[in-house]
This record gives sequence, C-alpha cells and structure tokens, in this order.
Amino acid sequence: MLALVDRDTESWSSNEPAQASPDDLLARVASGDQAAFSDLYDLLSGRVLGLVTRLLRDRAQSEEVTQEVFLEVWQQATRYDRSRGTAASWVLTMAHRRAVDRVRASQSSHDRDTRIGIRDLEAGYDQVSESVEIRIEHERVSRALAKLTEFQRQAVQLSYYGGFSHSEMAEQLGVPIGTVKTRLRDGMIRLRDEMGVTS
Amino acid sequence: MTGQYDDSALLTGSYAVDALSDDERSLLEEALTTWPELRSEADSLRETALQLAYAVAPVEPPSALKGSLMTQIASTPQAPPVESVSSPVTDDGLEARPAPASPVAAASEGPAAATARRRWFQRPAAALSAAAAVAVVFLGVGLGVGGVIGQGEQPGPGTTQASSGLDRIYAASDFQRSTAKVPSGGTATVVWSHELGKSAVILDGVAPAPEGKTYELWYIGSEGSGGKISAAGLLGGGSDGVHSAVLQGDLARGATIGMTVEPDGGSDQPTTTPIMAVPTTSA
Repeated sequence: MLALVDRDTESWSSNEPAQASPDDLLARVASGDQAAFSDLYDLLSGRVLGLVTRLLRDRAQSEEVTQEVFLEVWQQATRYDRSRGTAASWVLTMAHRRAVDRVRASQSSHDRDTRIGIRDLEAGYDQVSESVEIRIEHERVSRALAKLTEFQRQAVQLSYYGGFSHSEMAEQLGVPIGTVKTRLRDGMIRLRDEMGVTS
Repeated sequence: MTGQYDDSALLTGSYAVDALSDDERSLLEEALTTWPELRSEADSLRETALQLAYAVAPVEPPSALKGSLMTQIASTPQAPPVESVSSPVTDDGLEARPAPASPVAAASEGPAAATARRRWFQRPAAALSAAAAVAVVFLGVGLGVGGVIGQGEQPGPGTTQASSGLDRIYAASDFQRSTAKVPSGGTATVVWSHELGKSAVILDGVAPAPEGKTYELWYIGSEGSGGKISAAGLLGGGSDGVHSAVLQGDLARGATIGMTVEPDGGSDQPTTTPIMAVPTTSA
C-alpha cells in the first residue's frame, strides 16, 4: 500500500522532466545537439557495452568498440531514418555489426568452433542478472526462443551472440549454406511473431 | 518475382543477425531498395534482433569513456544528410565508418606523473592548501580509453576555437590525451604532443569563470627542471559549449598542465586553487 502511494507521489512530483525517448534524442543529435547526445549515451551505453562484451569477451576491446559506435552515432545521426526502425535498434545494430567485424577480424574461422560457441551461449544464458527488468527481457526472449526448432534456435544464437557467419556455421555444422539461411530466416520470423514485434 | 528476389528474400534473417559476408550484404541492400516488402521484412527482423540485444545484461562503461567521447564529438563534424552526399557512402547510413582507432599501448600514470601531481599541490608558491588537493579530481590519465582512442584522429574543421593548433596536436604521431572532471561540473581534456612541444585544453560543459574572473592556464615544470610555473594563456569560456585553447609557450617533458580562476587579465603566478591539474607523460 505504502509502496503504491510512494510510486504515485513519485510520478506526480515532476522535478525532472520526463525522460526523452531514444528516438527523440537521436533526432536532436542529428541537429548537432551535444546535450542530447549525452542523454542518449546515458540511456544506451550500458546496452551497447553489454552486447559488445557478450561477443568480444575482452573488456578493453569492447570499450574501444563502444566508443567507436557512439562516435559513429554522432557522425551518422543525420542519416537515421525513423521510418526504418527505432533509434535503439539503429544504435544496437551498429554495435552488433562492429562487434561481429572485430570477432571475425581477430579470429580465423579455424580457431572458432561452433561447439564451443554453443557451450558458451548456454553458459551465458543461464547467467543470473540482478536487474529485474533484464530478467524479464531474458524471460521473454527465452520463452520466444523456446518456440523455435532446435536448429533454428542454434542458428540464431550462434550468429547473434557468437558472431558466426552463415558460411562458418554451414561448414562446422556440416549442412548446406542454404539450410543455414533458411533456419535463420524462419527462426527470426518465428521469433518476431512470438514476441509481437512490429516495425 | 525473379530468382534474384528469392535469393535475396532468403537472406533477411541472416541480415538481421549479421551473419552475411560483406558481399552478400551489399547485394541484399541493393535488393532492399528495389522491393519494399523485402525492406519491411528486413526492418522488422532488425527490430526483433533488438530484443535479442535486450536480453543481454548491460555493462556500464567507465565514466572516462563518456568524457573522452564528449570531447571527441565536440571536434567531429557530422555527416551531411544522405541526399547531398558526394563521397562514397551507403544506402542506409550504417556503413560509412570512421577509421577504427588504432590500438596503441595506453600510457600509464607512472611515478613521474604522480610526483608532478604532488608537486603541484605542495608548492607553497602556488598557495595551495591540503583542501585544494582534495578538490582536484584526476580522471582518465592512462586509462585505456583515454590513452588509446582518438590516436591519429583528425578533428573536423571549425567547431572549436584555435582549431588549427589543435589539429596539429591531434595529428602528431605521439598525440596523447587525458580527461579530468572539473569539480564545479563538466570536464577538461588536455591533449599534447611532446614532439611538437605543444598542448591544449578543451573544456566541455564547464561554466564560465565568475564575473570579473577568467580561467588561466599554467605549465608547471617537473621537479627535475626546477618546478617553474609559467603562465600559458587565458581560456575564455561561455556557458555550456566547448571551448579550447592551445597553451602559449612550449611543453617541457614531464610538465603538469594546470588551470586556475584568476582576476580578469590573468596573473603572473597562480593565486587560487587549481580546478584542474593534469600531468603529461611521455608516450
């Protein structure tokens, strides 16, 4: 009861302006607004570094990539097209692509083994997160991933969390490349529909 | 619908999770401009990938990373909107990338730097109290981010004062930087090159000096060189923005760069507590 009252009070006492969305902030960044960039960084930098670290493991390299990503956000904000998706997705897409580039540049495919990739993914996935919000997200994604076939799920996880290209997966899993493409597409479409994502 | 359409349609999932090779990605992106329904499928799968990103626990970056970035963007021009671009750029604006920062060994704060810092605080001539020491915050000296990123990067034209001098420092092969928090808010970034014997200070979000006062920059010589303090120019600062100044005089090895608030017109020697003191280390 008390907690509810507290919460109400909190939402009514608006000492601080309502938090701007990443979409609004990015639009302001596009006009050279450094304060908006600062806010956008505060909102998304933890997400970016979390994702990049997941792929690269190495903390120093991941921080370096994070810096590159946000510098690119600054430079390319003028080209962000809102009709193509959310600002968060735009930023995290950049982060993911840069991290994947690093993974591929630093390790030859012979050094990388999908079996190790799968083992790591599972270990990482069970990691207990302290944040309730993240646990809920985790749960949602987990439930949606469970609706995929095992092969689809494996392909999605190896590529997104492991940075494997579909040719690497095809070679190591011993399946034709077309099969990997199909698994990824069907898997992502299934995931989209399970999670109710609209674009 | 053609074979090319079918081939491309098969790639939307791989595209969303970055499983494509560069060549395949170029092909698909071309196809996306031709077929709107492919574009909308690709976009929706990208948003789905965002959910995968959100399932990863966030990792908070060190605060020095932000300080370094804020300084960097202050001197980095933004790309023109995509219609008016003449240089090779891309389809969706995600491709044009700045050259990656070259990984270079980060300078660490060695004993010499620590000594320089102590000296700055302890100098009786500078009238510094122990409390003054507490007020100065060092940050980012020799942290990976501070030392590594920005190496070799050229700031763009026109966003800061004194940009020509800054350009030369940024372009120097032994370019180094260090960012400190200013106690009253904002950050001060010092960039320097021993090769050029030059340094500059960039203030970001630092409030202007009070009425009738000005910020003054100082070179404080290393202990070995007698610890001489020389005035290195004034730094005007408006509100909110980013202001920079190249220090007057030459940067000696091991010198510390300081900033104080002085009466308008500046002083010959510092009369107040430094709000920033950053030791310069050799690359």
